[in-house]
Order: sequence, then structure tokens, then C-alpha cells
Amino acid sequence: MKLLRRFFIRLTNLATRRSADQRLREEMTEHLAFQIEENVRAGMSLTEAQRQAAIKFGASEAIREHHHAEQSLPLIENLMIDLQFAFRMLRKSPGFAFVAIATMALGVGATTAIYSVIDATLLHPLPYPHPSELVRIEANLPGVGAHDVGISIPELRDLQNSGIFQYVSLSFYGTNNLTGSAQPASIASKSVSPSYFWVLGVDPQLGRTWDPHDATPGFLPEVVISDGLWKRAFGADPHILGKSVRLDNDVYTVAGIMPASFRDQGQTSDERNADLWAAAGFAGDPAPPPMRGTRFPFETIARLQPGLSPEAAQGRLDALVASLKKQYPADYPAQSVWTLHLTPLAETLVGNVRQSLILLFGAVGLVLLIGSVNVANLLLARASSRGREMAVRQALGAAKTRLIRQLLTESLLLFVLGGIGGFAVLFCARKFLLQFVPENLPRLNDISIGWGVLAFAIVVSVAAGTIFGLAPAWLTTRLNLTATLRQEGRGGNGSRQRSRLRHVLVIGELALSLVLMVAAGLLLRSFWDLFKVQLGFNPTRVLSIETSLPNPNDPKTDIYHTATQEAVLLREVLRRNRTIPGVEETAVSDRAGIPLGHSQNDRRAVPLLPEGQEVKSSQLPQIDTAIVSPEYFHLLGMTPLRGRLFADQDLEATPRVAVINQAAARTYWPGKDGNGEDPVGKRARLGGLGRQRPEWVTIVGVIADARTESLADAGIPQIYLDIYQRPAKFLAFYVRGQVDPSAIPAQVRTQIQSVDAELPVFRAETLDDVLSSSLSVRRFSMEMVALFAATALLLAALGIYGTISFLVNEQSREIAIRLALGAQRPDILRRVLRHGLNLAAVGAGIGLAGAFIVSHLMAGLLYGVSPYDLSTFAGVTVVLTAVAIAASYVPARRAMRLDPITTLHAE
Amino acid sequence: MNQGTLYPLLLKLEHEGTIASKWGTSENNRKARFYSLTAAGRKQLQTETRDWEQTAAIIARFFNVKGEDLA
Repeated sequence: MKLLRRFFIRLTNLATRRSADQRLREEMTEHLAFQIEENVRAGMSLTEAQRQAAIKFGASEAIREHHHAEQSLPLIENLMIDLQFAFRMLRKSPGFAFVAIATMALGVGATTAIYSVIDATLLHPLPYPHPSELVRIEANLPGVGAHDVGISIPELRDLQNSGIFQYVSLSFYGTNNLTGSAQPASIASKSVSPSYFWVLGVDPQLGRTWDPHDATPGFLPEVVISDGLWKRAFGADPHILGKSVRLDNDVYTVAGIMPASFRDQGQTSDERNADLWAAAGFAGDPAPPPMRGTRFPFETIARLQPGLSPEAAQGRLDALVASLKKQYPADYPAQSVWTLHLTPLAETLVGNVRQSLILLFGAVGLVLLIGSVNVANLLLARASSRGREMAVRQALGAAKTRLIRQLLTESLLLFVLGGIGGFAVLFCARKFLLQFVPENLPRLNDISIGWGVLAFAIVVSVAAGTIFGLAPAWLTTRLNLTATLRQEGRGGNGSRQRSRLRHVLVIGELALSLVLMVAAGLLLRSFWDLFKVQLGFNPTRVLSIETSLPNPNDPKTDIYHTATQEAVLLREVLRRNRTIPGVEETAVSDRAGIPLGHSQNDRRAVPLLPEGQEVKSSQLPQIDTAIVSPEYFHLLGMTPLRGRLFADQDLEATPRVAVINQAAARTYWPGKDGNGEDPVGKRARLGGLGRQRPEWVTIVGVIADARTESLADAGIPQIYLDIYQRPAKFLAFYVRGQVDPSAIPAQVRTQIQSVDAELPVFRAETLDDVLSSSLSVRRFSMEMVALFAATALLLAALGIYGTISFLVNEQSREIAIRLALGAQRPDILRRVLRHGLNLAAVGAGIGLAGAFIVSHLMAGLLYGVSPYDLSTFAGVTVVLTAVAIAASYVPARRAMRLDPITTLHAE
Repeated sequence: MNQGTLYPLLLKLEHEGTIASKWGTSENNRKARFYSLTAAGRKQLQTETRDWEQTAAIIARFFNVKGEDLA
């Protein structure tokens, strides 16, 4: 208690700087005067009385110091003094201070920027309570090579009753047409089990969600909407609850509104921004009757029982799977090996960007390291010039630890100022910088530069300042006093150690920047290869605009139920689109047909089995399908190879026809000798998954492979069906021609809505934009790593320049003597250059070894280039060496131009 | 002990709250600082005195021990 009280009084004394010194001095004067008076009264002379009084009182200066120590906190006061001194030292050498602080600002700022992204995505991917309990359940059939096959309703019930989970929910992302408001809108929605929000553990801000144990077979009549939709479409109407909304021509009532901060979970940004949730039992209309073999291609998420680890849960799940297999042998044939696999939900969400972000964080960490090394190097250089100062202070009795503390304060001040500077720049430029972050990054909206990030920046700079300030401080104070004082701060043991450390630091810098440059080089080549890749289709001047047809739960109310019904709409819209000025060609496809523009959700893989081939198992190899109109191929410039494309005679009543790409021909019609057979005219059975009945299609044509599914992979099998034979709900209209991309969406909207005013029209994009955004994550990480590598190279060049010029300065006397004794100037130049080259060679050697390890780790991020690509490694080494030589050349020239007379005189 | 060493100690006690001080005038018309015990100080003094007496009593009993008492 008393200690605490004293501490606080001392602290306030320190803070208010209320000096009790004056009071003490007055008190002491009074005391002495009183004593002298007494002594005089005792019969002493005045001088003797003063002398005796002073002796009796003791050393007044020492008492004042004691008194001062008692009333304040010496540790903090020393720190303040050190800080003041450090500030003065920085002001004295503004150039040094600027370079050091700017370097650290760069390093810490960049690290903090990447950290803020990682903080939002990797560290807090799930904004829900107890996120570690959330898992995704994936059903696999490894025996037939099928993954994520989905789950059937009886299986879902088994999971819900297993006791492993608190709640289990299906979730299926789609879009619905919301009609009734001013402009029909397509809204992102999810069809889920009634327990969905109980799994996530989030309550609505208004109203309620569903009863988690609701057993309604079909869709529940109530929906939950997002805060965004509530404000956008309903003007934040406080009496919205219980009001009805029309979705795909079905009527629902609003039961609840989620909080504004709520973000759904999901793999794509569309999914995470879902605006509406509808619950269903998936056991009645529009779903088929619940059968164990009828699997839905839905996502299954669940919340584990509290305290149950995912590993333990997986063990219990395996036991459940084994007992189900025994119970229903007909539904789980032994050769398909049905398994259920649990993955923490957080992992499944960030999986695709994790590698890129870790790479970026590694790269930026290296930049920080190189920056810190550079500042340490600068500190070491200053150590030499301050050798005399340190020697004098030590000779006067300063303790070595005290000096180290003061030097450490100076370096910490530099690092922390740099860190705060970096953070400030980041904070001011955050809006600008966020533009460069690709949109499909999960939780992009939650990236914030706040207190947590500031704390990170300060912790990083303090850590770097301590680590990289300690060695220079220690070496600065390690002096041979007599030698240093006599030699005016030159030579001595400490100096040799310092130059050795400087060399090690520069070599480290060079090695690290080589690693970064190799990483950047490999990414650059991958990106370039992808950018230059033969697309197989022509995206220029093509614009796609989406619409979606209502999909009511009762098929009888669907006015676009059959292909013939839908064809009327499609033909009319296409005809009208052709009349828009500038439009040369038009076409339509389902959403899966948009080249590179569709998310994973739209990729529809269905089993395909060529006629006459054996069924190897219950599961068939799957193929991606797209439903397109006949003009689609010509509009996108895809090359027909064999047979014909779709024609006007292909109608709902005529036999189903299909066009496949080369990859599909190779995969499904490999021929007896493996050379391939002509698939044109062959029949194949398509479908048979979920509720769709399999149908027979005749292959009428083969087109060349195009990278419509993935830029990185040209060989993905693909089958195209005719939209006039097979209706599609989610449509994309294409126009090609000399059109104004900003005006065309409104024009197409007018055309579509003049045919059916209830249809929403949205997401107009040029295919060039789609293409470029499909590269966005790669471009982002490539640009970032390249930027970091360039920074690293610059810093390393500065480092080697500094070291060599310092060396030349230190050896100027030696060089002058050599010159005076007749050494040739070019020899001097060569000598200095060789020194720089040696450093570069050692650094490059170590760096190459490191680069091999790093490039091996980042193999997954590369495309079309080997992680050990010789030309990249060689090129980078050459660039690094050239930069090292160039950086050494300037001081080497100075050495060569040295005038022996002035140099030797100056010493 | 020098008289001056008293002052840091007085300051410490004042920080601990056991004494208070104020400027005043001494009997021979000098400016002087008067130190007085606070309530807390008085209590502290009592405790310390009790402790000291207890310690002194224990030590005194050690001195009173005679050879035959230990046998």
C-alpha cells in the first residue's frame, strides 16, 4: 500500500515536474543559519561557527541528490534524458536520421499493411462466436475418385441425431428474383436448413430466425433478410416483420433481419454477401422425396458439441459411417468407399488465398529484415565516428551498461519513429491501397487499420529496434580506451569486429534480396505466361449481361418451365438486342457459359457415360456443362474442329444434341488403341445425379479446347447443350460490337424488360474485365512481391554502397600510402571493386540456396515455369551482381581519385 | 550521522503519508518548516513502538537466560 502510494506520488512529481528542490534549499539554508547562530552563541567566531555548522550538516550537494532520487523515479527520468539526448543526436545528423527512419517506415509500413490483411482473413476468418466449433462436412467416394459428392436428407438426419454436433445445416447458394419493388432485382440468397443460424450462433437484430427443429418438408413460409436488403429494398421499414415479399413468384413473409455486421460464410464474395435466407427441409416439393441415395450437391456445415475437438469428432464420425454402411449395404457399395470428412470451417474459407498471403507476409518480412539490417549497418558506421565520444565518456566513469542503454534508446527511437511513420502513411493511404487488394479476397470489407494494427506496428518496430540495436550498441561501447583516445577514434579491436559484423550484415542483405528477387521473378514469369496464354476464345468487344428467370417452388406456376416456353423469350430478346446500334452479334447462355466469369457455385459437373462403355461403378466420371445458344461459339470465336454446331432444327421435340471440346473427346472417347476415336455421331448418357433424370445426348460436333473454365488449365472436359432444347434459369446475354460499355447495360435492360418486365437485369461486364479480374489475386501477389523485391534490391544496394564507402574512408590512409609508393590507380579501383564483388558472391551463394528452398515451397503458386527455372535464377544472380558492382563503383572511384598528399597531410 | 541526511528521510515519510509539513515562523522569528505526525503516522508510530518493545523484550529474555536454565 505504502509502496504504491509512494510510487504514485513519485509519478505525479515526475509528470508535473514540481520541483521540491527550491523548498529543500530554503530549508537547508534556514537549518544552517540556525546552527551558526547557536555556534556563535556558544562562543565561536563567525567563520568557525560556519565551518562547524557545515561539517555537522554534511555534503549538501549529495543530500540534494538523495532528496531528488527520493522524490522522483530515476529509471524513467534517465529514459527521458536519454530520449532528449537521442533527439538531439538525430537533429544533429538529419541525413542519417531521415534515411534510417524512412527505411524503417517502409519496412514496418509494408509489414503492417500485409498484417492488416492477414489479421482480417487468416486470423479472424469467421466472425461468429466460438469459431473453432464450426466445421464443414464433406462426403467423399475415394473408391471412384469422387469428392464432395454432397449429402442426402436421411444422412443429414443421421448426423443431426449422432450427438457429435449441436446443429447441422445444409446450405445452398443461389439467386432469387425479388419482385414487387420499383425495379425487379436478383438477390443473392441461400437455401438452408432451419438450424442454419443456430449453427453460426448469430441472432437477428429484429424478429427471429427459424425453429432449429422445424421438420417442414418443403420451404418454410418465412424468410430472414440482411440488414443491407432491408435498407435497400424496404427503406429500413420498422414494421417489416410479417410483411410479404415475392421471390421467384412465390410469396414469403419476413421473419427476421440480421444485424448490419453479419457476414455470411462462404467461398465466394457473392456468397458472403448473401441478402436473403430461406429455410427448407429439402424433403418435399421442390425437392424429391428423401432417399438415402439422393444426394444434394449442397454444402454441409455444423457446430460441434462444446469441448469436442475436430479430431475426436472425426473419430466418432468414422464410427457412425461404419455403422451406417453395415445398416444400408445397398446404398453404400463397398468399392466406392463412402467417407465423411470434417474440416474446420475457417480453413475451407481461406484455403485458396492462404498460400498467396503467407508468401506476401514472408516477402514483406524479408523486406523488414533487410531494412533493419540496413539501419543496423548505419548505426555501426556511426559507431566508428562516435568512438571517441564513447571513449571519453567511459574514461570519465560512465558505466558500459549505462552507455548501452543510452545507445539502445537512440536506436529504439529511430525504429519506433519509423514504425509510427509507416503506420501513419498506411493509415492515410488505406483507401488508396485497398483498391489494389483483389475483390475476391475473403472478408475484404473487414480489413481495418485500427488499434490492433498499430499495436502490431509498434511491437514489430520495438522488437526490430532491440534486436538490431543491441549488437551495434554493444560493439560501440567495446573500446580500448587508451588506444581510442590516442588514435582519435580509429583502429583498435572494436573497429575490426565492427567491420566484420558489417560484412556479415551486407552479405545477409544481399542473400535475402536474392531470395525475394527469385520469388518475384518466378511469379512474374508465371503471370506473364498466363497473360500471354492462347485463350482459345476471343473476349474483345464482348459484353455479358445477366438475368435470371423465376424458379417458383410449384412447377405449374412457372411460365418458363419448358424450353419451348423459354425459347419465345430468348429469341425475342436476342432479336431486340441485335437492333441496338453498334451491336454486331448476340448470343445467350446459362451462367456456367460465361468464360472465366462464373464462380465455383455455377460450375455444374454432371456424370457423362458414352454409350457402349461399361459402368465401372455407381459413380460416373463428371463433366462440366454449359447450356448455350447456337450463336455462342461464333460470338466467342471458338474454333469448330469436327461435325457441326447447334442449328435451328435442334428443338425441344428433336433428339438432344451436344457439342464437346477436345479434352472431353480425349477423356471419354479414348479409342481402343488410345489414339482417340471420332465422337461425332456417338451417343452418351448425361446426368443421373440428384433429382435430374439421366438423358441421352448425341454428340454432333467437337470444338477446340478453350480456357473458359480456368486460365491455367486448357484441358478441362466440357460439354455444351443447346438452350432451345434444355431450359436454363440463370442466363447471360452477350453482345459483340462497337458499343459503349457504359450505355449498353441500360439498353439491354430496356430490351429484356420490354419482353418481361418482371425480370431483373444485373452484372454487366466486358469479358476483358472478367478475364482481368480472374487474374486479380495472381496479379496482386505478383505486383506486391515484385515491389518488395525492388525495395529489397535498393536497400541491399544502399547497404553495399555504405559498407564499401566506409571501407574506403577507413583505408584512405593506406590507399594514399600505396599511391605514394607508386601503386597504379586502376589497381586501386580493382582492389575495391573486388571487395564488393566478393561480398556479392558470398551473398548470392547463400541467397541461391535459400531461394531453392523458397521456390520449392511456392511451387503451387507457379504456372508454366519450374520452381528451379534456370534462366530466372541466373538472371536474378546477374542483376544482383551488377547492382553490387555498380554500388561499389562509386566509392571505388573515390578511392582511385584519392590525392595522396592531402590525405596524408590531413591525418 | 550528518544532520542533512534527515531531509531525504523526512521527504520519504511525507510521501508515505505519516507526517505532514508546513512553513511557519520559529520562536526566534525565523522562517522554518514544521513537521507534524498525521493520524496515520501516529498509528504507524504505535505499531512500530509495539514491535520494537516486543523485539526488545525477546532480546532481553535472551540475556536473562542463565546456564542452569538450559541444562
